[in-house]
Amino acid sequence: MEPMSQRLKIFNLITAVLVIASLALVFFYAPMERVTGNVQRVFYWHVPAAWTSFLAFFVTVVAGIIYLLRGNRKWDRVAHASVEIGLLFTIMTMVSGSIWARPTWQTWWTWDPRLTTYTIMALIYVAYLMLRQGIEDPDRRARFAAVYGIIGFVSVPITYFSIHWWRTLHPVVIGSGSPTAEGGFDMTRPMVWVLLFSLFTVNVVYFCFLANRLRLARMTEYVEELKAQLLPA
Amino acid sequence: MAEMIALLSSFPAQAEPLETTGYMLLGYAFLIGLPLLYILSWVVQRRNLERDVELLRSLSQEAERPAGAPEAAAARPPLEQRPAE
Repeated sequence: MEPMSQRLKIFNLITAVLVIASLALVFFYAPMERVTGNVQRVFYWHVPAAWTSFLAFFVTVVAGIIYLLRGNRKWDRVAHASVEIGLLFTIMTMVSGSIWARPTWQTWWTWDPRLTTYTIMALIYVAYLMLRQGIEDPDRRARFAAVYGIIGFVSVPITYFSIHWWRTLHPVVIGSGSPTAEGGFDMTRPMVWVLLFSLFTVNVVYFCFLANRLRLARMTEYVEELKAQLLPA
Repeated sequence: MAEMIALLSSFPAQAEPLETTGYMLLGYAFLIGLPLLYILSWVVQRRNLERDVELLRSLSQEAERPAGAPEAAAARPPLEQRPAE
């Protein structure tokens, strides 16, 4: 089996150090928000997780386009891995947001435009994984998945701009939000720094996960090839 | 005006933030716990793949070896010896 390269080991180590540093900043450096208290600290990983889920789905689009142009299976693996990791960040965002909403909005969940569009986006990418499961032929699967990944990305800008287009409870981090938004706060300079550091860290976590997931995908493909060679249908 | 000031000062000011530490801990338990579970799933998948490779190699050796002959090398080179894409 493929041994872990030295570079990947170092990358994993750097990522772990960044995660610890980010959590230390969140818990010990960032000031407590004056109204909602400590639960506001969830925001430092909730927002980067949401951004990173958008990034992951964008990577799927880019990888899908390159696959359609070149036909190299490597790019299909990138697109697939990126959707899987993007969904991980999507679930992290939804659950942490729900936990934040309970004391702030007095409810775990509401069908607010941002929450609704984000849920639809998540379901679109769950369907991407189901589509892949349903197609046997690897080339056909990769082609269909690439096209679906490109079309499915339409849900990402709709989700992002939903808080600007419709009246919403959801606070806006960048730009002006809806007057009905609840739970927003003015960020002090330390809060901005912690948010930016967390954003950087969560992005590094994404690329680290992608590298490790691609390694696993290569191994899976190797085993599939072995099976096809030894156990012909 | 004085009445207004007296009325406003009679409202209790929110001096203390809400006590929401439990929600924060729950949030981070999930934010850290879910990726750790994901990593654990890789470990399990990798172990299963290694088991599959061992099984497939032994099957291929048995299939290729004539009765009584010494063990043959695996049909395919290990992954680390294959050219990178």
